[in-house]
Amino acid sequence: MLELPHLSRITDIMTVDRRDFLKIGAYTAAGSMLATGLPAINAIASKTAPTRKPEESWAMVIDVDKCDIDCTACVDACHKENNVPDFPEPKHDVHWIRKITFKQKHVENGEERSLPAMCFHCEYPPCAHVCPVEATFVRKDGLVLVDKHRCIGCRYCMIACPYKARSFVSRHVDHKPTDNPDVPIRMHGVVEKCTFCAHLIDQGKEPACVTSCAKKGKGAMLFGDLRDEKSEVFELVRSGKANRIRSDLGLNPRVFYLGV
Amino acid sequence: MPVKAGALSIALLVMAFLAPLFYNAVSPASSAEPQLVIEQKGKCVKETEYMRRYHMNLLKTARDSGVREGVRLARHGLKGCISCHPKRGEFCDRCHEYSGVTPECWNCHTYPV
Repeated sequence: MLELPHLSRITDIMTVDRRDFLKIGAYTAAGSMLATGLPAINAIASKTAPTRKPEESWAMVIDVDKCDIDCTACVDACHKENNVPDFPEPKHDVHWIRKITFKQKHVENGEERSLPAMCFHCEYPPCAHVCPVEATFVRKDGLVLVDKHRCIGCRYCMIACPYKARSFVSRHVDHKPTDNPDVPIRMHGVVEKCTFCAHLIDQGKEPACVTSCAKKGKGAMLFGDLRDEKSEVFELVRSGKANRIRSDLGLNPRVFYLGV
Repeated sequence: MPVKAGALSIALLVMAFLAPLFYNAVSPASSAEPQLVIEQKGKCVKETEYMRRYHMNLLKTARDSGVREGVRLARHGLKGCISCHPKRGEFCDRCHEYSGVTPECWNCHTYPV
């Protein structure tokens, strides 16, 4: 039979005499002093660990004045780089980046203008918030990405995204010899979107749309690190000239527009 | 003749049970172990025995750290495999067909056949 310790013995264990009390106090004080030294130890440890720099925070600034209506260099480059499928029916259309033409309401005799729109990689992304399987997530450097290994294709994120940045792969896609081998194609039944060309960023390059805009367009797109105070992107964002689309939603997109 | 009929049926049953063994003894090619041509021996990230049994764990870790953290463990990923074993048909598929598993990697990822 199980023997229970007598009640008085339990209370014996629980009482702490004066000497022990002081001991515990001394250990606690020593422990807290050690804890203040821990960040320094961590800093040394993190220098050797092969992790990403935590201070990166990517952002894009697009100068709408430099964007021509009939130029589609960014769209073409993106869809080529990322093997975006081309379905014949418009209702199955998959887009990672698209050109939007618009007329500003408050400007008199305003001419038609255009701007490229992609996933804005919000700081508070509603798509990641609603994802039931945590397939959409925010990477440490601020990119909002879809883990297609986990995506179940429920399309909640597409409903949640106010910018219509996401597309659903609604048909089977085959490998093509012209595909970019660095980027996997997507299976039927997952949601995909712009990744800011995460595979290029990790190699220290810029997204394909930005490179293509500088080469074939007028260099309207700028890409950089918001935490790097010397970067052009940081300067433009701090100057207050750069606007976000629908900033009233409070999602803090990482894509800024100049001249809208 | 109930005894004779019983013996006969038992003999038939035993033969039916042993039939697969006889079949495999006659056709040894079907159960031959897959042969892999490994050109650069000893250059893999782990030893052959480990890779044979646990390569999927390495691939999964590389996948998760690459997709989720942005830390690309190139040598442990599919790209690392391709760099030494350029053809899927002569490498991955041999064992997978033998053991009857169908991984979904190549539905999306590019690996030359």
